[in-house]
Amino acid sequence: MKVTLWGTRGSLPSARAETVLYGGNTSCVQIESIAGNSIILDAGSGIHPLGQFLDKKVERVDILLSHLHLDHIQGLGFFAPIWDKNVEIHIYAPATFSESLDTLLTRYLSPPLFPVFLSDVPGQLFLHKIGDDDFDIGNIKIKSRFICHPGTTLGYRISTPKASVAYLSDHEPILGAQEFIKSTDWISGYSLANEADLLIHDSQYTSEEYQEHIGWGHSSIKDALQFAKLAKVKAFVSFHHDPSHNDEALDQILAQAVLEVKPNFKVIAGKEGSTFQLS
Amino acid sequence: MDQKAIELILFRQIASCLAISTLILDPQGKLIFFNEMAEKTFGVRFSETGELLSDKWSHVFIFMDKKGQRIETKALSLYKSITTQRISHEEIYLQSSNDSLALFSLSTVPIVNIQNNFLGVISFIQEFST
Repeated sequence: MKVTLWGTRGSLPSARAETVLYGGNTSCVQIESIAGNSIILDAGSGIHPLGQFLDKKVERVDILLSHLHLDHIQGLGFFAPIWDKNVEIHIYAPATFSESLDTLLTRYLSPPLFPVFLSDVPGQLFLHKIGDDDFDIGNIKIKSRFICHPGTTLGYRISTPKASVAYLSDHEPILGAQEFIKSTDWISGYSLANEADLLIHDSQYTSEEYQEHIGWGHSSIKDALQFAKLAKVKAFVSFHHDPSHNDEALDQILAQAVLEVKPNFKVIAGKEGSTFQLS
Repeated sequence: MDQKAIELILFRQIASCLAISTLILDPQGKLIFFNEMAEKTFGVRFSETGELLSDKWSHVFIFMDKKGQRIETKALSLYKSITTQRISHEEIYLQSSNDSLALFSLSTVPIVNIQNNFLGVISFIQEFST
């Protein structure tokens, strides 16, 4: 399994000289299995360069959206395969109570916010509402669970027989508590992350910033590392970086959190363009 | 073990912050959480009991009518909320520390998620005099 980070920024694209190292594109991760299946996690602005990179002969693309906040869908209209009539595009997103996925996505992908209606793009779109589900895409197993973030939001565990990746891009598992509950089945996202080879997790705030943003649906990097430690992951990737944090600040924040938590697993700064080969 | 539904997790987090006795039961009537105020009201600690099946919690959480007669579990409004998935309310009595009966209100709300799955109920218990 190969994992590529195409966008690691949270909330707002943040391309400027001081963010070159971590990158400015919003959430997008590509997972490729040895058997050739490819899954895309979220359609933030990072999906635009991914679309340029994909094989022009691709016939099917599967996009798993964590939720429909703008920073996770804003790249969709600029994703080359949706403009190709020969490509099947399957979009999976969390169910909501009253409105169809088509209606929700069209709010953004329609005039005046976007020049073309979603229904008019030439690519063959298949929209799938999902929730707490387990399903397969090719030889890849997908486990989706609702997690703690405002609105309906899914976390994912992507598994092949040889490797597993957990993706919790927007997640505040410590909400309303001072520390994690001992019964792990009561912890949001725990079963997705448990013993994952790679956990890609929301790391938006410093501990001080988190105190000013409780309930906003994001984690401090220290809480994220403690969650990862509890879940016994093998490696951790920081993700969904705050747009106000430049490269220097992100390096310092991560180093400080590592000093405090003392993780017994590999900690990787989530930088755009990074790839991870999992056996 | 899979995680509990996010709606239950969030209700537990809220219940942990409330000064009203709060119980969370699953669709089978198992008591899966009670908060600190409920611990004080009923004199038991969740960390000691853990989750309790209905035939167990009914011996610990004893609800009575105004004559001091125990209300059978299946006659309780909270149990009816489990079977009907409807909001319920009733007035019940609990034994106070000085052995007198104290009047409480018991309100129960079904927890049905966005996919229309029934996940259990949350019950709030408050003494009338407080």
